[in-house]
Amino acid sequence: MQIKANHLTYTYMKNTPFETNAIDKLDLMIPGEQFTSIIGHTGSGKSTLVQHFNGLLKPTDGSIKIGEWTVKSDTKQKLLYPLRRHVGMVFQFPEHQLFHETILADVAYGPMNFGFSKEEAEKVAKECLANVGIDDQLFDRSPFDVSGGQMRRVAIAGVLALDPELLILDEPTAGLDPEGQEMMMKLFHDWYEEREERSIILVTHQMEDAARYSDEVIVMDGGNVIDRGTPRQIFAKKAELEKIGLTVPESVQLLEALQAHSESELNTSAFTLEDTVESILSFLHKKGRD
Amino acid sequence: MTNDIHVDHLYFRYHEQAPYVLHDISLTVKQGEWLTILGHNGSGKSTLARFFNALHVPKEGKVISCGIDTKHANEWVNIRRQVAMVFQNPDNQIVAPTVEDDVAFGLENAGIPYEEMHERVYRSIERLGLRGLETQEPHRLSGGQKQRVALAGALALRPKVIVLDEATSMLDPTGRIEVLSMVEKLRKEENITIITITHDVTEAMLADRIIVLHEGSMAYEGTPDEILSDENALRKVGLRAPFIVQMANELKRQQVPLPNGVLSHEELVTSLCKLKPIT
Amino acid sequence: MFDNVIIGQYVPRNSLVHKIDPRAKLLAILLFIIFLFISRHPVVLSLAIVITGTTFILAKIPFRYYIKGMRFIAILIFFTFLLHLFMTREGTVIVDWPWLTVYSGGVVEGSLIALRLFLLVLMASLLTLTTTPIDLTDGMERLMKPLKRIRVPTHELALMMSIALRFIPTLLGETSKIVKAQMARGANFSEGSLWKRLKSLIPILIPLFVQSFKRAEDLAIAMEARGYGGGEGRTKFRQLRWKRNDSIAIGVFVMFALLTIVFGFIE
Ligand SMILES: Nc1ncnc2c1ncn2[C@@H]1O[C@H](COP(=O)(O)OP(=O)(O)O)[C@@H](O)[C@H]1O
Ligand SMILES: Nc1ncnc2c1ncn2[C@@H]1O[C@H](COP(=O)(O)OP(=O)(O)O)[C@@H](O)[C@H]1O
Ligand SMILES: [Mg+2]
Ligand SMILES: [Mg+2]
Repeated sequence: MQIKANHLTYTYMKNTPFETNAIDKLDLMIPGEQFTSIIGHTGSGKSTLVQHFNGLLKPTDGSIKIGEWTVKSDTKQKLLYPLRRHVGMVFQFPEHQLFHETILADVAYGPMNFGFSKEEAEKVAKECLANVGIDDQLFDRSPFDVSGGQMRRVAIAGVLALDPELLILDEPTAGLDPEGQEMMMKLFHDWYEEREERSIILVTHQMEDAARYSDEVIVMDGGNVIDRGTPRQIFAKKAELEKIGLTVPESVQLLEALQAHSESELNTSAFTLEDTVESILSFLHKKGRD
Repeated sequence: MTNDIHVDHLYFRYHEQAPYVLHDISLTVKQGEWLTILGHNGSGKSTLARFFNALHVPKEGKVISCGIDTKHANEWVNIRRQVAMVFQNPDNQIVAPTVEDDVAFGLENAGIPYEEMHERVYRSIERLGLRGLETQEPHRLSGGQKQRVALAGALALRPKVIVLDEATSMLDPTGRIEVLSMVEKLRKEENITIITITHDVTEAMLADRIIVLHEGSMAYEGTPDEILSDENALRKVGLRAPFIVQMANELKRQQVPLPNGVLSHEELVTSLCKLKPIT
Repeated sequence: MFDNVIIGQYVPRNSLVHKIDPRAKLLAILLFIIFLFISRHPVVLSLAIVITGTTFILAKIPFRYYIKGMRFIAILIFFTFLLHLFMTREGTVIVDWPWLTVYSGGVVEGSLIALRLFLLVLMASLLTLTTTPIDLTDGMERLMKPLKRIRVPTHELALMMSIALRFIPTLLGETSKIVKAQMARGANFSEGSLWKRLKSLIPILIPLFVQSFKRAEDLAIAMEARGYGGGEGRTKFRQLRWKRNDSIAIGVFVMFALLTIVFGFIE
């Protein structure tokens, strides 16, 4: 689903002494069917921006177009409901949204809001729960009665159950242990790969994830987009990123340190273990040739 | 009086019928050392930590904190003044509506006279780099600032030990660095024993010694060099080795003759540059 | 969603009014309200206006701040005015339509009550706008201290209030987050029958309750870890010092009270 922001501005607590311009006259186009990451320092406006993508926030000024929907400051709430069927959103600590008596009913809540019958909704819910790795023995348990990692997966199943075209992830792995983070990112990536028309927009502080999974990385600072490009292009700009409080993935840090220390050219844009090893090996080979 | 913490054959479960959350834990935390307790979510880290300052008291086994057996109820307040704790969720541990009031909270509880309290509060605020935020309301602070407020409140009590129970896990990278650099500073300048609890292996590198907890038992114990370079052992307990360790191991597998125990970027880079070229 | 909740919010400024001891402010307001509602003498009322106006100016709170916070109150005051206007049957008839009769007494009564309410609300919001909630709590705790002798748990009450103040913004943020999360799952809070709308609140109230419970538990543990053990033997970080300006402020309001009594006799 394509997104197009036109002079988008969002102001919190307008007309009070605490007024904050979180997004400032932003122009942005994000193509559909791709994996996009948004990075930026805390407070740079990432969450505020992505909440416009499914109509949770309406622009204070300017407009935003998501697929065929256009949202302006005076757009009626009512018109935004169908949009949310197509754009799913996973917040930070999504397990805080669980409320139903059973896990199955909680996941079926979304589809039922959009007019599915109970049977249909539960069928979808079961599929989604299986996809996120929740055993069917747990379906009738209370969502508050399972481990923290499982709670989060149930909450995510509740969002996937809407079968959105675009999935927005706002720091979805915060607070998980390394294994949990790895599994969670894999789950999202598998979901994304499953169908051609699906897109993901990931807000993250983990540069490694942004580098590994995205087609495009968008850099935000002070309520505006200041740079965008492929992970390769963005993470080649270590100094610029550091200036706005960001880092490059650890693999890039290592390769750049090696490059600086050995004073020889090497490929520094490697984001996986394999690529990094390969880059180092070719560095060692080259050393042999020189 | 010794300022060590001794845990001796500790077993614990939350209810009579529930499974044991801690199995036969025995350990000693030496005065002035930095100990990290590493383990995945649910491995029992927080439960164990709460024995150090008598928030839990052993039914089976024994815990002696700073020379005092924690089973004596009348010593609990005293123990908690010596073993301070910073918790995971920055929002759920600040009690008072402003920074300075919160830093003072522990001192008020201890009945410290006003003049001294005033001095200690502002000294702590200064030490944690919170000058200018004295009268700020907690909800206007960043995550890193909130945890520094919690640290300031702990420091004001002049404790012998500070326990940080995943104090950085809900913070962004900047906040994490902010808090950890403060902890390093406090340990160096105030000679406070530090116990950090985490599942972040990069954070564990800062420690003198690491204990790995897995399903309520002590799985491994050793220096960061020993623990963090064992990729398989870590994977077995649901953790991941630091990126550098993974890299070094992979390179070794590819016949690159690296020394053992490479943990930091600098070490790896200098080792690589020293190597004979591959032909 | 809660962006515009500003009633009861403190606005930091470096003003005379901000610096007055909270005990003095509380006592002054108490005096002011009691005597404002006792007297209807024009001199007393004018004096009340002057006092309110002066405090208002001294407090240095930007004007637009009030307008926003007062909008709802203004409607309330206006209704009270209308109520008195139509209900009072004294004085001469000034409007006499078949379906409506307004007496001059109605105009007087209505205006009087509107003026009093207006001054009261203005003073009350000045109190909260210029005093940090924690100072207010502190002031109240100290003024209530004598009640401790009849076993009113003043320390616990004050602590409860201060914790509530600390957590209100956090809970508002939490609520807004949960509302958004459920809306993202298609929740609709503004359509359907009343019953349906009430039911649609369950997905918000339950997570909110669960979260608050978790928070309370965490907080209790954190307090215990910091050696909290009730009010006994506790010292206080916040010291209130009575200054000359506080006496002057109270003096002004005592004068106001005295004048009210004097004019009461003259009448
Ligand atoms: N509910 C809110 N009320 C007032 N200000 C807010 C609110 N949410 C965010 N802000 C402010 O808006 C700016 C952008 O915040 P946010 O979009 O959350 O950034 P990010 O997600 O990049 O951390 C920040 O300055 C923040 O303080
Ligand atoms: N208050 C409690 N009541 C019952 N069980 C608990 C309680 N707190 C923790 N547990 C259980 O004890 C185990 C260890 O939890 P915890 O010490 O919090 O682990 P960690 O801090 O390593 O994530 C978990 O299985 C958890 O479910
Ligand atoms: Mg955010
Ligand atoms: Mg824990």
